[in-house]
Amino acid sequence: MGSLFFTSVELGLLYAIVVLGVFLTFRILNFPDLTVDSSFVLGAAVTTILIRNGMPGILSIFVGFMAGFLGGSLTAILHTRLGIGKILSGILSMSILYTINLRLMNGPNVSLLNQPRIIEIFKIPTNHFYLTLFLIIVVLTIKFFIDWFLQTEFGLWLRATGNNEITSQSFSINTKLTKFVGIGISNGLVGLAGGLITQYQGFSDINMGVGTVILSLAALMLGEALTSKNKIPILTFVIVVGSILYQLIVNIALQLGLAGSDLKLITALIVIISLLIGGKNKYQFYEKKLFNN
Amino acid sequence: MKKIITFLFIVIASVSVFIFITRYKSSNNKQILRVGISQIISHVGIDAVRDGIVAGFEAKGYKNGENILFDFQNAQGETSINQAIAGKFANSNYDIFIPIGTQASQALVNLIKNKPIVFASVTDPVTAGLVASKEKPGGNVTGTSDMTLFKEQLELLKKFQPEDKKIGLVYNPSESNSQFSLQETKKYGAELGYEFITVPANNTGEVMSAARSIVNKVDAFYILADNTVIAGQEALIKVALEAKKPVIAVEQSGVEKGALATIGINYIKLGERTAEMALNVLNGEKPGDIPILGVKDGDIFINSKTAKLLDITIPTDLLEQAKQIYE
Repeated sequence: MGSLFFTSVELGLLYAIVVLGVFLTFRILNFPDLTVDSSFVLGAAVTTILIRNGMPGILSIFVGFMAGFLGGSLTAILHTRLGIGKILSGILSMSILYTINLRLMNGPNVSLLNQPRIIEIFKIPTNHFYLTLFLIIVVLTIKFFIDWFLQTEFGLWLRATGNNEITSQSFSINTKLTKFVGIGISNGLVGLAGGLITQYQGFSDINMGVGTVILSLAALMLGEALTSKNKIPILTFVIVVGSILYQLIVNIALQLGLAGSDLKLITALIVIISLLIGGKNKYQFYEKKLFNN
Repeated sequence: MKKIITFLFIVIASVSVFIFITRYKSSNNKQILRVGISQIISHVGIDAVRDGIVAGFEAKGYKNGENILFDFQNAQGETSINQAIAGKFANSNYDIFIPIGTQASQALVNLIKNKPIVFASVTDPVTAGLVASKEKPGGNVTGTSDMTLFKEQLELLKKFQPEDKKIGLVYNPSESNSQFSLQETKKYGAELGYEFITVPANNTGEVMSAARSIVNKVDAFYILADNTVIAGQEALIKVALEAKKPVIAVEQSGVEKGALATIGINYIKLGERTAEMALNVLNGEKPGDIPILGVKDGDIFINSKTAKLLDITIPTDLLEQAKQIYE
C-alpha cells in the first residue's frame, strides 16, 4: 500500500507545479492559456536532450523553466505585440512548439531509461521517501515564490491586469509587460514540471502534453473547492492539495478496477463535484474565464 | 469548517480504500495466472495485437476468467494516466506484464524491475531504451518488435521479377526513420544480390522529380519506410508506371494507389507470438536471455490492375496467399 500511496503523491506533487503555473494565467491573469500542452513537452524535450548529452538531471529544474518561459513568451508576444486574441495566440504557439519539439527530439519519442536522471539519485522505485521529500521542497519553494511575487509591486500590477485591464492601463500599468512576465513564468513552471516528469517516467514523447490543461483545471477546481477564502497563500496551498487528491482519486479508481479508458469520466466528475462543493460563484467565474475571451 | 470536514472526509476515505484494497488483494488465491496488459491508446494495429495476445493464451488453454485474469488498461493517450497505470502494475501481484507499444513499455520498464515484462509491437526496442541489445536483452525484459518486413518485401519482388537487379530508392536525408530503413534495406538487399540507386528528396514535392531522375537507370522501385516518400508515393508510382517499372510498396496504402504489391505486418499473429513468449517466460525461461522476436508473418497485398499494365503474371502461390487483391 505504502508505495502506491507514494506513487500518487509523487505524481500529484509533480503535476502541482503545472497546476500552479496554470493558476497564474487562468486565475490571476485572466488569460486562458492553451500553450501549456506544448510548453510542457518543450521543457521535457530540452531536458531530455541535455541529459542525453551529459547534463546532470538536477539542473533540469532551471533548464526546463527557461525553455518553458521562452515558449510562454511566444504566446505573450503574439498576443500583446501582434494583437492576436488570447485563445488563438495560445493555439498558434502550441502548433509552433509542436514542430520545434519534434525537431529538438529528432523523432516522436526519446528514451531516458538508461541515462542518469533524477529518480536514480533518489533511489526510485525501491525507496520513495527521498524523492517525495525533494518534491515537497521544490513545490513549497515554488508556492512561496508565487506568494511573495504576487505581493511585490509588480505582482500587484499583474493581479490588477487580470482584474481589469483597461482600468490598470489608466493607472499607467504596462499591461503588456505584466502579461509577458505572467505568461512567461506560468509556462516556465509548466516546462520545469515537464523536465521533472520526463525524468520520472523515463522518456519524452511528442504527445505527452495531451490533456495537460484539462487535468490542471480539474486539479485546480478540486483544490479551490476546499476553501472559500480568496487569499493567495491559501489558494496556492489548496491547489497543491487538489493536485495530490486528484492523483489519489485516479489511482483509487484504477485500483477499484476501473479501466484507464474510464478515467476521462472520472476527471469530468471531479470537476462537477468540485463545482458543486465550491458553490455557484466559482462556476460562473470559470464560465466567464473560458468563454468571454 | 465545512471545507475542512469535506477535506478530511476525502482523505480518510481515500486512505481506507487503499487499506481495503491491499487486504483484499493479498487474500486472493495464487492458482490463477494474472497478466497486466497496457496500451497508450486505441488504434487498429494496437487493438489487433491485444486480441492476438488473448488468442495466443487461449490457444494454450488459458481462458480469461477461468485460469487466467487479464487486466486491460488503456491510457487514452494521456501521459499521467499511462504513468498511473504503470504505478498500479508496479504495486500489483500480477505474474507478468505485457505492454503494447513504445510509451506503455517505457513506463513499465521504468518502474518494474523484479517481475518479467514481455512487450509487444515496439518498433525499435534498443533506441527506446527497453533492452541492451536485440540478441540478448538482459534484465527482466524481452518482447516482440513490429519492425517493417524489409527482407520479405525485397524477396516479394524476386518472386514477381527474378531478373530485376537494380532498384531505385527515394529517401529524405533529414528523417531519422528514413536513414534507418535505407540502411536496413541495403543490408538485406545485398544478401539478395540487389544493387541500389538512391536519390534524395527533401520534401514531398521533390519526390516526383527525384524518381524521374533515376527511372531509366532502374529495373524497379522500392518505397522506403520514410514518411516523406510515403506521403509522396502517388507521384513515385505514377512516374514508375509510365516507364513500365514495378513498385514494391512498404504498406498496404501504396498498393491501393497502384504499386504492384507489398507484404505487411499481421498484428494478430504478432500478438499471438508475444503470448507464446510470455508463456515461455512463465515456464521458467529468463526474459533477459530471449532474443527480441521480429515479425515473421505478413499479409500479402497485390494490385492486379498494375500487374496487367506491366505484363506481369502473378505467381499462383502468391495469388492464393494474398490477403487482398486490388483490381
